[in-house]
Amino acid sequence: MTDDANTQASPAPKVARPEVRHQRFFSIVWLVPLVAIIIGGWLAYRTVSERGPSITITFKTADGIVAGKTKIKYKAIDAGTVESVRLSKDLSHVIVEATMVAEIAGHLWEGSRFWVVQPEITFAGVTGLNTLVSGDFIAFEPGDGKKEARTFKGLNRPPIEVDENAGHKYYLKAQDLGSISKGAPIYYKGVTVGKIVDTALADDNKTITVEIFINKPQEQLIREGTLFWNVSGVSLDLGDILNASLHVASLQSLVAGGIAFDNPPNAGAQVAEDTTFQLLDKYPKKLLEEDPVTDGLKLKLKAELLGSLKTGDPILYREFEVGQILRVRLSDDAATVEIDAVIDPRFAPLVKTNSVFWNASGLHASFGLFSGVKVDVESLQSLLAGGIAFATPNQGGQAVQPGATFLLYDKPKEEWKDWAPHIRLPTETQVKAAAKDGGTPAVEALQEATAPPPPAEPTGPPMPQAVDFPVAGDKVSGSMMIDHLEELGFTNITSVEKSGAIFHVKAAWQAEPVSLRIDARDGKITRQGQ
Amino acid sequence: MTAPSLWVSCGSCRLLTAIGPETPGGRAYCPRCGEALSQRKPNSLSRTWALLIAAAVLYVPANLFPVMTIISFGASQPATILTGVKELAAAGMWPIAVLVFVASITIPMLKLVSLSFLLISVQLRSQWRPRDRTRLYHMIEGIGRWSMIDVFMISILVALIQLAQIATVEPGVGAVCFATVVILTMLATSAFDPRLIWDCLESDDD
Repeated sequence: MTDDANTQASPAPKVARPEVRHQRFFSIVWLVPLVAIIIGGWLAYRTVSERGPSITITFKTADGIVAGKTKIKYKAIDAGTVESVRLSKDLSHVIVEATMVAEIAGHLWEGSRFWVVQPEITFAGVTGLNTLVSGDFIAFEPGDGKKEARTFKGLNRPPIEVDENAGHKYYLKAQDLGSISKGAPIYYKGVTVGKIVDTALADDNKTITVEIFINKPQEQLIREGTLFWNVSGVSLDLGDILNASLHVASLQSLVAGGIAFDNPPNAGAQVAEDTTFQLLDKYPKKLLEEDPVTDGLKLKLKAELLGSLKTGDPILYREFEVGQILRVRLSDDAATVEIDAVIDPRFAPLVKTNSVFWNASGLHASFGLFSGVKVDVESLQSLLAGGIAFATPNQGGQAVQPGATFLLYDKPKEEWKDWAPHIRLPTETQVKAAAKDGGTPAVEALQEATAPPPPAEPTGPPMPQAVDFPVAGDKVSGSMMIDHLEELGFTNITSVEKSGAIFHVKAAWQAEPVSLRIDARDGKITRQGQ
Repeated sequence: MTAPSLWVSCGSCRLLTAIGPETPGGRAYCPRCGEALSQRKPNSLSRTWALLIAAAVLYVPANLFPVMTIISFGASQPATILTGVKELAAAGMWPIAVLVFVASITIPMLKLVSLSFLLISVQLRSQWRPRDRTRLYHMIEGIGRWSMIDVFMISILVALIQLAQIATVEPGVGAVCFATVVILTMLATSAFDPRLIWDCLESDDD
């Protein structure tokens, strides 16, 4: 059989018959290139769609920028990569070419800002510490322009980042920047509520404009009367020695500078954004503590010397503050110093036509051969802070008109301190009622209401018969004579003629003109004529 | 009974089978082990073409996309095969740079070109130096696996360098493409039947 089969199926000795199945019409292997093309196409599409526009940024220096490595970041997210860094033709700056990611493409507006973030250690804090290890990156902030742009100018310094929607901008005008720096905080009662965005010299080159940013919702605190002051460094207020105050807003503001603000009691309504305020150079304690006394009995005082008086100094009556100095200025003829003062309406009746004012600032020491050493100090506070004191004679004065002028003596006479007239002061309710009518008439009304009954004797005190000079007769000068006569109560001194030790003076005593002959050697006053 | 046109040895059990004329359109299977019987590797040309085209398509992203991304201190730095070679050369490691360049760029390219050449020559029934073409085929077969050293290197780096913030290596899409290219060219090589090179010579002899 085997042999048969061998011979039969020549030439092979043993031949098997194959099974026959039908072939698939399409080879499945062609799916492989199809899948490869799909994958390749998808990769290509993804790359192209993720690839954003190419932009050009110019920088002053390429410090920290590495081609192919440095990232452009927006909100810490990669927004692009630097492709190349090259020098400009004139070698003045570097040109950085970068490819942005596709999401950024629609936000490359004109005015977009680019700056290199590097580690920075300032008094305001340490920033960009992460770039120490990760390398510098370029930060990007979309602009708000109307046109798209592809070429930008990089910033040399990081801008102070503010989110326009998170608060309001205001401007401050300052005379001196002090140690205020960009990025320094804005304080309200010690709480940081904003920061200084920019500082620049104003167009007139005389003042400094400080742009500040107040976070929401504290922008509600910015009102018409809001006071801003510089809290940079240390402010030692010795003006008020009894409660000397050392103002240091915070250790940070001590070194980095800062601005604080607060509202006085009547600060007014909230103001619009971009309003400009004045920047005070120190803590405005007086302005914040109380309403500045602007209404009340206004008086004008004339002095030979200013004697350390200044705006805001108190007007004292029996060492009690009843008003303050509004303004000091040199008179138009430069002969005297004019001081505008205001007396609290409630204390207006204290001032009479015959009241005397003297400078209570400083120390008055008089050395006399016989009287010894005498030191007058009004009070320790007024000694250092300055002030004006006044006294009113027991009798005879009339209510003064607002704007009345008084002479300011540089020291008080001993007898003035003995004066103790009984003057009925209006009550608080009366003051308030009068204040409703408003202004100066109110003061007059108060004075009317509390005016003392007319004196029983229309004649005033007897005219002094002698004047006491501390120096020898010949050395008495005209001005010294005027001083002494005025101290005695003579007013309206119109002329002083000197012949040796004899003076002829025209003046007024109790509003009655008198002509006097004064012998400076013994101080005897003789009334002449009339 | 007419003489069977072809004698075919089964690929797995070596049973010699005569494939007769009764099988056109159908397919012959070994009666002993069930293996498909064919005189040459079945669909050798179209299969090789398909795999070769797939490999050629993926060769582009394999070289353009980063094979790995080195993330050091938050800064990610993608590296393609070519930048890797460049950096090795820049660092003065010329032998390694050449090795990587040859293994990763030249060999896959050579395989793609050589296989295409073999396929085209077979389809054109070329009689040009069949012995050398066969030698070329065996060379392609032999060196194919060496291209995988790149893939091994990347897998080792990814596994080893996981130092959180300091340095991390992440595989890139290029590595996947590259590995696929190597695998596809190896498959294409094995799908090609070198006997096809000689077929045209044989038929001429007949």
